[in-house]
Amino acid sequence: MNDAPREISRSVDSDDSPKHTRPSVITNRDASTSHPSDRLSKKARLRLTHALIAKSLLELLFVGALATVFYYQTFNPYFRGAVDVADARRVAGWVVDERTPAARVEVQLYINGRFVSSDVAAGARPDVRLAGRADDDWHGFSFDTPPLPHGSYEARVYAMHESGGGLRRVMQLVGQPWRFQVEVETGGQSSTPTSTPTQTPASMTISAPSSTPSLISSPTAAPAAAASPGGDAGVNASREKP
Amino acid sequence: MNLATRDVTARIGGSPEQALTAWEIASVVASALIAEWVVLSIGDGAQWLIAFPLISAFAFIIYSQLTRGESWRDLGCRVDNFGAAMRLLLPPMLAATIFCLAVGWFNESVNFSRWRGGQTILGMPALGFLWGLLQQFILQAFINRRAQMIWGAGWKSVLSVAFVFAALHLPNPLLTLATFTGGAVWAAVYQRTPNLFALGLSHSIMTWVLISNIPPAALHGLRVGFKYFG
Repeated sequence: MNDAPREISRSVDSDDSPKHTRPSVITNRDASTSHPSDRLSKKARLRLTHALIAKSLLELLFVGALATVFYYQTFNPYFRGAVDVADARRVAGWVVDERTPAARVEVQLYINGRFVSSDVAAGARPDVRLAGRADDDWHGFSFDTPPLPHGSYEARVYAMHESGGGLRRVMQLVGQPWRFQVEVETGGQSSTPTSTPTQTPASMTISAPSSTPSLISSPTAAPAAAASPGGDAGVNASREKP
Repeated sequence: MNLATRDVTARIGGSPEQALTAWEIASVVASALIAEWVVLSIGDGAQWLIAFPLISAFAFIIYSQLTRGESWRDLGCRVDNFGAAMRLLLPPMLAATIFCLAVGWFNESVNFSRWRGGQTILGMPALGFLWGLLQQFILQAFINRRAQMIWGAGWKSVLSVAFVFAALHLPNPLLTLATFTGGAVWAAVYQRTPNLFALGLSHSIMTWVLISNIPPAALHGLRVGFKYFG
């Protein structure tokens, strides 16, 4: 690849009348500057290589730091929460932003992927405070499930996180998606014998507090919670679970 | 240095040296891509961080040029061949201007005061020229020269410069196309008559012609990188 042009140059140099033949090789080109063909010394090559490695490392660190800061700003890794109950009557649970435990988190309910309702998690959940997850009692949420025809449904509750001065809003799944069955539809009052969390954790699933199994309802507590129609049924049912 | 080694057709022999030169190009292109696609994607007042990849790229370019012993004259910062370079640039510039005027006339989008490069009457041409000169310095005095070290002068190095220039204007389709064409012409002219001032002038004039004639919606505010979507 590199030899051919040099041979042309050599043949031109060796010509009897180089002044006449030379321009034919560098036709129309400005020969008064050094052209980018100079070889580097070993030392210079080493210096350039070191500079390139240093530049690459610095930029790698820069991009890594930028990505980490961006992630922590855009996705809130401090959300903790769980959905305690999801049935034909209501979807309830709790969520805390552990970075700012006094703040109330906005939550949105989706059933079968469709938006149902939005609310602020500010309901009474003294068990969350007792578990050491929050400084106060007001981190619960409870949505009334809309009238649904007979069938199987999946409820997902998302915590909303805003960043970039309101430019970005990110939805982060609270706990796990919950599947529930609507057996009989009677003007919005349905019976739900089964209600379980789907065992397909999403990428941004917020884990339930493992240190508080007796305070925060486990998936097996859900049917009991579903059976009690009261406002604090989820909490009560959770407490009944050992 | 003898004539044979100064000939543009002569190239670096060893492949490690070619690899190093290719790495130099890739490194500077990576810095530009970091600025366009990473820093600008963060937004919310963090745009000043763009200084890091830009300073890093410029520092390396200067260091590389010093290490390779390239003089300002070698790079094309000279005036003696300005006229010759402009003579080479004029025909393609005229052709592009006629084409842009035709598009502008057809779309009724001709407006020669659309480009706002600065607040004062001198601001626009001055900033436009400096911006063009800066881009041509990186593109020709660094990338083109190193592309020639790898592939020698000719269509391979010219096309590689055009590809790099176009890639840095992704994902703006019209700008990518325009910069590929412009990049090829400027790279070819630089290889024949290296003069950065003529190229900077040509760059700023063609930018003005493009903005003044092509419908603004098609140019998408000249946005490139992640900013294109914002």
